[in-house]
Amino acid sequence: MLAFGSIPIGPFRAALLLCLLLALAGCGAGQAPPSHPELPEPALRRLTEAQYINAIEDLFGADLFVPAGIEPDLRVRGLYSVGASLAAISPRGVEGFERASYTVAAQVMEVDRRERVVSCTPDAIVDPDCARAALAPLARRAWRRTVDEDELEQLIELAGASAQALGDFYQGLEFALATVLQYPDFLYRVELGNSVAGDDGTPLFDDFELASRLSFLLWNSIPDEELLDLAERGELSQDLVLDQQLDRMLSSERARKGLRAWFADLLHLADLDELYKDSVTFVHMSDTLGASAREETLLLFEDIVFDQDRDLREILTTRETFLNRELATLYAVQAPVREGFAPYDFGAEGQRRGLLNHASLLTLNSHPASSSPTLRGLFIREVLLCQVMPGAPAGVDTSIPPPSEVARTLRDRVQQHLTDPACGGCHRMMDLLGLGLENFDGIGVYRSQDNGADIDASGEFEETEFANHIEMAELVAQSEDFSDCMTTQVFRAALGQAEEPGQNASLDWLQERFAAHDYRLLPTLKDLLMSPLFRQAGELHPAGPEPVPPEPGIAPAVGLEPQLPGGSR
Amino acid sequence: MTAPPTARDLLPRILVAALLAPLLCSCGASEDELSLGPADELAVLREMVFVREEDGVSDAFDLDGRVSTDTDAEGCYHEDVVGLDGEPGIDNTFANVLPALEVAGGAALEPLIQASINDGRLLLMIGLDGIDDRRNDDCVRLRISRGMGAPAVGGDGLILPGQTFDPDPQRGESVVECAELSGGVLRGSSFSLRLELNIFDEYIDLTLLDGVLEMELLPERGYIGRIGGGVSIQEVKDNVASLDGIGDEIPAMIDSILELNADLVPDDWGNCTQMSVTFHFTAASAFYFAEPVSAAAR
Repeated sequence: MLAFGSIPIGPFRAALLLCLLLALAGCGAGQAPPSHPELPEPALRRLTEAQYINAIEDLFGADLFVPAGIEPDLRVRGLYSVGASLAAISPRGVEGFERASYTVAAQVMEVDRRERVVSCTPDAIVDPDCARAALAPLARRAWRRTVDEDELEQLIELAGASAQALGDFYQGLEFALATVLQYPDFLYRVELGNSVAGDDGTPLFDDFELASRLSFLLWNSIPDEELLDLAERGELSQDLVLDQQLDRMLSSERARKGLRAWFADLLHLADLDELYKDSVTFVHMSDTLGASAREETLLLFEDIVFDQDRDLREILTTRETFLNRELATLYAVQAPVREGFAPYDFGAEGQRRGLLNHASLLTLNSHPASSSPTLRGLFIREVLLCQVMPGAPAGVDTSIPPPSEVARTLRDRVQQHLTDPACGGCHRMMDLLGLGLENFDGIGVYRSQDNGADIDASGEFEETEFANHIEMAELVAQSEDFSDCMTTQVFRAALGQAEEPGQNASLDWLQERFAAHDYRLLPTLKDLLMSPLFRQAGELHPAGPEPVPPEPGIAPAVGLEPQLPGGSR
Repeated sequence: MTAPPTARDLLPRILVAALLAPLLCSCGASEDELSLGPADELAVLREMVFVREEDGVSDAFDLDGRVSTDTDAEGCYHEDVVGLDGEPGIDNTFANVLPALEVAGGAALEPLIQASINDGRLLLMIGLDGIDDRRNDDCVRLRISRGMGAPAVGGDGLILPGQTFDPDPQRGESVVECAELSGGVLRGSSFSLRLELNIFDEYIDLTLLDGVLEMELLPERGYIGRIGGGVSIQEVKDNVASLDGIGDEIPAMIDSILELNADLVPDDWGNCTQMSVTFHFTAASAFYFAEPVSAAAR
C-alpha cells in the first residue's frame, strides 16, 4: 500500500495523486503540443531521386523514361529526407538535370502524349494563347505555387521564340516545358515559412508550402490539384480543412507509397539494390533477392500501418509476413503463392518473428561472406533505438580471427572484441544484441550450427538476458527507446531535419501521442501534422544556417537558372 | 550451321535416358487414386551420379538376392561385385558400360543428368509420411513422385533447398507403405516404376521393376542416399526402335550393349531381361503447394 505522508492511500487515489504531481511538474500535459516549439531554421530541400521521378510521373504519366542517378541523395542522421536539406547540386548534376528535363519534355511532346498537357489546337506555329493554356497549369503544379504573370510571360515567350526558330509549335513548347523542369522551384522544396506570420508573430508556412510539406511527406511527390486549389484559396491551413485533407491523403493509395518510402529510407532498404554477397557461401543469393526482401519488409509495414492499423511495435514480434516463392525458398517454408506475394504465418513453432528476422535487414547488416553481430547490433542501436554509437578508435585492429578448433562459431571469435578493454565497452552494446541473430546467416537463411558447432544465440539487452532472437525481439519491441525512436524518426522525416536539444518538449509530446494512440502510426502522424510543430517555421536567419562540410564526392551547391534554348541538349 | 548429331553423339544420351527410367517414374496409378500433395517431409533430388565400380567394389545394391558368378546361369554369367563393406552379391552391370559410353560420347554422363534436374525435367520428389522419430521408425510411408516447375539454381550449381513445386499429376507416384527407418537411414524396396520420358521430342514409356531406395536423413532436412533397380531391356529396345530419325546403327548398338550386360530376371530361355543400375543422390527439403494448381488457377 502506498502512503502519502503517514496516510495510506488506495490505488485509485494513488493514480490521481500521481497524475496531479505529473501535471504540476509539467509532464502530464500531453494533449496539446508546445505552442511555441523550438523549430529548426527552414532550409531548401532538394527533391530526392524518388521524389523527382514521382513528380515527373504525376505531371506527365508513368510511361515516361525518367533518367535516374543524376545526383546522389545525401543521407544525414540515417535519412535521405533529412539529407535533402543539405544536399546540393553539383555542376555535373546541373547538366544532368538539364539533360533529363529535355529527355522528359521530348517524350511528353510526342504525338501520342502531347494532349496530356496541351488541350488546345494551336492556330499557328506561334500561338501564345495555346502556349499559356498548356504552361500555366503545368508550371503551377510543378512549382507547387502560384505562377507570377511575369514568369508565365517568360515561358510563353520562350516557347514562341523556340517554335519560330524550329518551325513547330510543339517543339517550341518542349523548350518551355524543359525550362519548367529545371526551375529551382521544381528541383527544390522552397518551404521557408516567412510568408505568413501567426497572430503572435510566429512564422508559419503558407498554404502552398503546407501543401508541399504534406504531399512530399505522405505521398513522396508533388501536391495534387485539390491541395493546390485549397492553398490558392488560402483554405488549406484552416484546421477543419486540413483535418479533412489529412484524412483524404492518408486514405489514398499514394499514402502507402509515400510512407513506404519513409520506412525504406529509415531502414536503408535502397541499399538492397547494390548487394554484394559471395554466392558460393550464400547459395541462395540472386539478382532478385534484394528486391524480394525489400518488398517483404514494406508489405509488412503497409499491412500493420494501413490495413490493420496495429501497434507499430508488433512489427518486431509478429509471426506474420508476406512471402513470394523466392523468399519462401530462402526461409525453407512452403510458398503461399506461385506468383507474387501473399500473407504467410510462421506459426507458433516457426523460427521467425518480425522485421529483425527479415532477409532484408539480415542481409544489409552482414558482411559479403559472413553474418555480423556487430553490424546487426549497431543497426538496432542506431536505427531502431536512435542511440549514437561511437566509431572504432583510430588504429584499432577490427579484424576477427578466422575459425579455429577452439573458436568455431562467430560468437567464439568475437570474444576478443568483447574482452579487449579498448573495444569491449561499445562492442558489448552491439555484439551482445547482434549475437541474438546468429541463427541467421549473412542473407537470412536459418541455421542451427556455425562451422559445425551449435549456435548459442543468447545475449543481453539493457541488462536483461535473452535466450534467442525471439526473446530479443520482444525485449526491443517493449523498450521505451524503440517507441520513442520511432516517433523521433517520424519527427525527422516530417520536419526534414534532425532534432535539436531544445526540441525535447516537442518529442516528449509526440511520444505521448504515440502511446495514447496505442502506438499506431497514422493517428500519431496526423496529430503531428495538425500541430504547430509541422505548421510553424523556425526563424530564418539572414546569414543562413551553419555551413555543413560536404561529404566526399558532394560538390558545393551552385545556383540553378532556367536554361535557354541552345544549351547542351 | 550445327552438324546433325551422329550415332556416336546420341548413344550416350539415349542410354542415359533409358537408365533414368527408375527415376522418372510413375506407378501407373490412375489419377483418382493419387495422393499427391504435401507430405510430412518432402525432399527433392538435387544431384545424381552413377554408382561406379572399382576393382570389383561398388556401392550398389544386391537386387536379386543372390551371389552370382561367371558360371551362374541365373545371373546370366555376370559375376557380382562386392559392396564397400565387402558384402557379396552386388548387382551393377551398368558400371561396366559407363566407361565405354563416356568414350563414345566424349564426355561424362552426369552433366546430362544434372542438366535435367536443374531445368526441371527431372524433379524427383521423395515424400515421407508418418515419421514419429527421424532416427528410428519401423513404418514410414514412402512416396516417390515427380515435381513440376522451373527450379531456382543456387550459387553451387544445384537446385536450391526449400523450394515449393507442383506435383505432376500425370506421372502419379509410387508408394511403399511401410519403409523402415533405422539409425537415421530409410530403406524402401520393391516399388515398380513407369515413366514418360521425352527423348528428342519423342515420348516413350519405360519401366523399372523392383526398385530400391536407401536414404539417410541428415540434420536440417538434408538427405543423402542411393536408388537402384533393373532397367527392362526389351522396353528400352522397343522404345529406341520407335524413335524417328536415328537410323539403324544406334538401335543395333544399344541392343548389343543391353544384351551383353543384362544380369537380372532371366526368362524361360535363360536370357536376362533387365540390367542393374544404381545412382547416388543428394536431396534437400522441398514442398508441394498446399493448393492444387488447378484450384489455384480458379
